[in-house]
Amino acid sequence: MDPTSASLRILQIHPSRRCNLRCLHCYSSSSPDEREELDCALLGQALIDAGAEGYGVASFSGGEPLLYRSLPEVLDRSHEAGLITTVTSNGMLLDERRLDMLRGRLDLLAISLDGVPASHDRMRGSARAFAAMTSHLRGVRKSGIPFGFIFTLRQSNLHELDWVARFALEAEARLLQIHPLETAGRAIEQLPGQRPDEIEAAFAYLEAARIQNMVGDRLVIQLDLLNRDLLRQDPGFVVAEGEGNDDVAQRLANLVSPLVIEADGTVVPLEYGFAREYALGNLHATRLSQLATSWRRQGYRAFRTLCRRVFAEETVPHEFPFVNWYETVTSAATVATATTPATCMPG
Amino acid sequence: MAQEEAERGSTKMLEQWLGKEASISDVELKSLLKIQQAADVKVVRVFKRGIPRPDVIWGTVQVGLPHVGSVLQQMLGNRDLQMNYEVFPLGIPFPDVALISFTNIPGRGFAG
Repeated sequence: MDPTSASLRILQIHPSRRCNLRCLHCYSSSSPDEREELDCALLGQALIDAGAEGYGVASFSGGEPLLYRSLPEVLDRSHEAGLITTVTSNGMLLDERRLDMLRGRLDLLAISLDGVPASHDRMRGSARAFAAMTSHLRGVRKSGIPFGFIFTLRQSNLHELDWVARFALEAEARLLQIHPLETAGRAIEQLPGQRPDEIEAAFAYLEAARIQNMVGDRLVIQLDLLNRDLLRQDPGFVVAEGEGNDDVAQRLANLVSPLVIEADGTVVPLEYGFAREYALGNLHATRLSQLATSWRRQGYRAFRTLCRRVFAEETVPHEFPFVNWYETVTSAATVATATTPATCMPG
Repeated sequence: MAQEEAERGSTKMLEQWLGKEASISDVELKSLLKIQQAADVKVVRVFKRGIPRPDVIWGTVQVGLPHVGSVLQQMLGNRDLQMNYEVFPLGIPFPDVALISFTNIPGRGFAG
């Protein structure tokens, strides 16, 4: 199984928003102050249900997942359910003890890297974030756990991507994921105007292509943007086709991916913080298999209508071809529920 | 945010490559995207400079051999990139990819 394959259906889990950092761009506004976390047994059952619903990847984020006490158990449960495991970490806590714990349980480790050391530390709100992270890279390599870096693209930092790619190459990473900053969580107040616009996205595409050519097959470069031309050619990539008469018989992963479990147990489509009117429900009230059954019958129709509307809007000719699909749908859901909440209710 | 955050990353990237006056227009950016999005094309390098308007562009793209014709046709038909082109087949003993170098400098060689 290849954890970098785009064809795998993803369950994204935020077991806690507890974090050792308070990053400026954190979409979940995680921090050391947060204490709420998901119960291990509750999450374990959700992972089993997710496997049965067709999900192939359990992607743990946060907060800092390494601070979640039951991480070993839920990683094991993920494998039992047939899911590939990934963990996104700031890398500062990857000491030998934790790497020993992760070995054999983790299929891909994604470490955040926000640019050159000074930029990284400023975004992380810690003068020692870069040094602490890099001090553990030797151990990460030695552990044999495949790893990559995630770079958050802002309006003002594309010029650092070349340095980041060379750093990733030298560190023997396998993946460099470029994720455009979204106007969510702490970034709304801390990073106004830093969401990359269409011009920066276009330059990022060219730069990512140049870097991929430079590094060859030593490092996979992944840019989290979709090309509208390709969307037009392959609508099924983001929007379920057909009239939906057989939705009830579909496995959930065929209808929505990523599926997100938030730290309070809320299950939503696509992204952390997705409008609650589209939520499947809460794991504290009902297990995932039952939430899925109910949503297929009632809630999915509104979500599909939303996706199709966004698809229609985004695939008409634009000045530049790239779109952050998940962010765009998430924003449209928020607007839709603010203006016409009745259209989004199940039924 | 600090003053430094006001500037585009792409502007600083072009400055790193070409110096302070480097720039690229939206029209030319779109043209480069069209080339890049052609089948099986990899950008090897693209450079651009000019004061105050960009007036010099040169670069190289790598193209799978079956697509060289269509990519060249697309580049030649692009009114925003009136350029000279040279094609270098790569691969021993049988060429499988080609490098297409392009520039808008009349009579310029392709070593730069």
